[in-house]
Amino acid sequence: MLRTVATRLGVLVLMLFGLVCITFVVSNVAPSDPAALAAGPDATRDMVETVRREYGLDRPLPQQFVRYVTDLAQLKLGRAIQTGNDVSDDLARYFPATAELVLLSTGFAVLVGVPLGMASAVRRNAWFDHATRILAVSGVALPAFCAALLLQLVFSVVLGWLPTSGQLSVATAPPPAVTGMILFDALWARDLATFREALGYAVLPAFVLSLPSIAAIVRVNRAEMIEVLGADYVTAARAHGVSPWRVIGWLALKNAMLPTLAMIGLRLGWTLGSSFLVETVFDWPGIGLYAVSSALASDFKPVMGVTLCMGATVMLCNLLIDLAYAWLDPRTSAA
Amino acid sequence: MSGIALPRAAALRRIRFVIWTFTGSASALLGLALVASFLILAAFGGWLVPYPDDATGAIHLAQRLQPPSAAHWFGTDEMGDDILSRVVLGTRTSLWVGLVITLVASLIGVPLGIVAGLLGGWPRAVIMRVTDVFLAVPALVLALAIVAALGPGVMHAVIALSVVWWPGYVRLIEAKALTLRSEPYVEVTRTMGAGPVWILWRHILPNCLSPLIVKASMDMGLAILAVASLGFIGLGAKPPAPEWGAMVSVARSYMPDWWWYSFFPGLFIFLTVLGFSLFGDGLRDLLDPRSARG
Amino acid sequence: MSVALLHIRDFRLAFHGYDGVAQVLNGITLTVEAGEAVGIVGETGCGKSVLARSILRLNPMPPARVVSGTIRFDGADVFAMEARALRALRGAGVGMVFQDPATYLNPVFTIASQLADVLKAHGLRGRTAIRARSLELLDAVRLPNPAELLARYPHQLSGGQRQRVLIAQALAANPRLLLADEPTTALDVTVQGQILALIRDLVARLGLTLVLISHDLGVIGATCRRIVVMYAGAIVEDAPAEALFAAPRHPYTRGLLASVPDLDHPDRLPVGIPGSIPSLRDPPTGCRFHPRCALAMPVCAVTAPPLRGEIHRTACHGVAA
Repeated sequence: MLRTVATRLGVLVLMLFGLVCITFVVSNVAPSDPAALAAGPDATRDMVETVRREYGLDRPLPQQFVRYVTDLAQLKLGRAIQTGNDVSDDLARYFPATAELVLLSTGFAVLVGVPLGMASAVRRNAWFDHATRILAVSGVALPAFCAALLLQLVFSVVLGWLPTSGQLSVATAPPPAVTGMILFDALWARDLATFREALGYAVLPAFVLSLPSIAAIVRVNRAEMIEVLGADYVTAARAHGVSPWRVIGWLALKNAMLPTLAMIGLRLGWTLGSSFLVETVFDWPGIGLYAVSSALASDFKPVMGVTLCMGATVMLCNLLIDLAYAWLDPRTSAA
Repeated sequence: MSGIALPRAAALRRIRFVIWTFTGSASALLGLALVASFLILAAFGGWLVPYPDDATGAIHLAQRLQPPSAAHWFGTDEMGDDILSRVVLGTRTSLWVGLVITLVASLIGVPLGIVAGLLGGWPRAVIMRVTDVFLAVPALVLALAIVAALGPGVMHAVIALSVVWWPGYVRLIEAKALTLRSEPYVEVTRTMGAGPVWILWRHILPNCLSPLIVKASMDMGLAILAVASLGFIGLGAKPPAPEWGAMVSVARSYMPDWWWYSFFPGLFIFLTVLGFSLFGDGLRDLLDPRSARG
Repeated sequence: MSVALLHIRDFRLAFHGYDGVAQVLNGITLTVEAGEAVGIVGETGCGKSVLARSILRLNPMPPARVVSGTIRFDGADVFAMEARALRALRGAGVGMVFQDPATYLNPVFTIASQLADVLKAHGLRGRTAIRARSLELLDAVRLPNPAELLARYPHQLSGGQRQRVLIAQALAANPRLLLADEPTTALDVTVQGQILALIRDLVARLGLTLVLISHDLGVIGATCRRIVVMYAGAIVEDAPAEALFAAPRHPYTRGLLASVPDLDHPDRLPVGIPGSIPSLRDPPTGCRFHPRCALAMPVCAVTAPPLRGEIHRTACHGVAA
């Protein structure tokens, strides 16, 4: 096990280096002038030249690359023109909100997707199965921003049950920061009123974000469940008189959970990636919204910072999921 | 059974299988219908819509933001343009962005996947590691970064998405080629002296075709969705170009009183992506008998 | 006469697929009395496994459908049973052993957990009781170190060990009938003999009734006193083992025996049966064997011969009853 972890960590470092290469290439291959990009849209010619010298952008590319990597190693991601802060500081401030959203939506997706997929497999080709499958495909097909607008309209404007946007009302003081995730911090501080309020703000964005993941989990769970239910060992269990509920609910579920776990890992990138759409509609102060507003203002460094941050997060999470996978599946861990 | 009747019977069986698969599944038929209507609208939309000029940004201030009516089935927008015309003509933009992205992505991804799967060894290691890195970065965010570097615009959005879309194809083809390479029947041809090119041509490519078509069909929808998403946040197509995402983006500020403005472009995105996904599902049942209903 | 333990009467089962209906079981009539050891032999695809699964109602329906006939276990109609009675039949009435021990054990659960599932399903409660019974079962199938084995996963066992675990599972609820579907086919030859010996021994020791299914006449002959030969979904011959080996009556049985290499006369090459098994979607009219039969008469292509005889039953127009 320890050796597996060490190998995976090595691969992780290699992958991170690859990620840095990609962002470097994107910053330099683009036809636009990197110095102009770094200086911002309102910079004069002199300012661009100053930036060029200051960042060493007049040096040859390999030297620039070395400097880029050493800067990143010290978490120096440059300065955001819009906020005037270091990008790394901004990221640290906005990341918890995004993490909270993604965690909540993944939880939603598993809680809704797994039972739906299983029920759908058991009632294969019945109306329930057809309805679930159509819902699942719709979850992927419905653009996140449309779903967000629709739900906002129904639950906030028409019904008035939930707040339209934001993370907490202006009047409420956020709980003392432990993780930066408001829901978690509120629980930590045993502040149930704030927790309930924050949950009200988080429900809609998290649900919208979870839709494609629900669809994916339903899909893989249904397929896997059908395969497992047709597997010889399930036939054997039935032949020995084990009750159908035990067969479906536990024996088959444990087999089907492995691919579900893998699917969550695969979906994570997509969920993080589409968080910027949901954050834009719901005005959720996460790194997605930060990237979008920076991109619209042609503020380049923060966008690259968010890309790096999200890439690294996904890589790290995939590593954790790999390890969980090895732990859950006796066949791989024994090898 | 005579030698002539055999292929005919096989063909008949195949046709019966196709019909059984598609008619047996309501969702596959729905997908087929949606994709067909989308293609018809993209091809003939210019002649079908009542106000083709409205797609290019004509201004009729007298008819601003009218609700759906007999003259304007989907209502009008803040410039007084007919939303039906704009939405229908938007199919053409969506069709070409979808086509270009999937085509470029598969043109990059398939050869890399074949090389990785067939050669193995260090070429495979290099290709797959690079692919893994690309797969780890959320595609939409990387696309956002590339568009940020290139500047907004639908063309740049398409380039950015093509650049981030190919790793999925490498994965798919590499996995397929790898399993095929060690299939007993391929090993048999190798023992009989078949070269790598022959194996590629005769065994690998035909067997990769089905999953490739299925993935491409699904990706058409997803690529359209991605371009619309970039359009929505203001980094894709710019108004007055009739692009669905950009339309929803503008329409957002007219919610909820002028709901039809954002509803219809949103509906079209939804139906298009839904259509391609269902169609792809149907194709999978058809082309990949192993996963077909049983 | 008392009720037979297993009584199958004119049982017909069809599978519905996109290219038509396959008549997989075509009028099976078979009675197994308590204490008998019956072997069912036939080529791959003749319907013997489907028959075995039908006894426990394991064939998925649809696509399978019972066209006519009944299967009765101890007098009770299997296809009319309610869920509870069916669960009791599975395990406590009939213990089933399967072909490939690699796929019939769940890869993500320990042996202990999979044995416990069966025991719990048949009403055994309490951790210590379940553990004690599990150890007893593994001991009964002569697995050494049962305590250590319980904690293992299937992939950590050898093929023979896995098959013994499957037999232990089948015996867990003290069944009256042991139904073994190709129990040795997936095993190495050296292990095959051990497993057969184990089955013979268990049958004798526990007073079980045995139905053993195999494509291998040698396996059947070594274990069973009565042999049923199936061809294309029907029984063609049913006779005591000695009678069948000494004087086979049905042309298919003769062909089957002739295709086994004769070790006493190595100069005699085994003779195959010409042609191949027919499609069950579009079976030959009359006797399903007639296109391959050297002795076929005009009547064979028209009417299917009934199974005639008392102790030695044969379904052939060419054999006098």
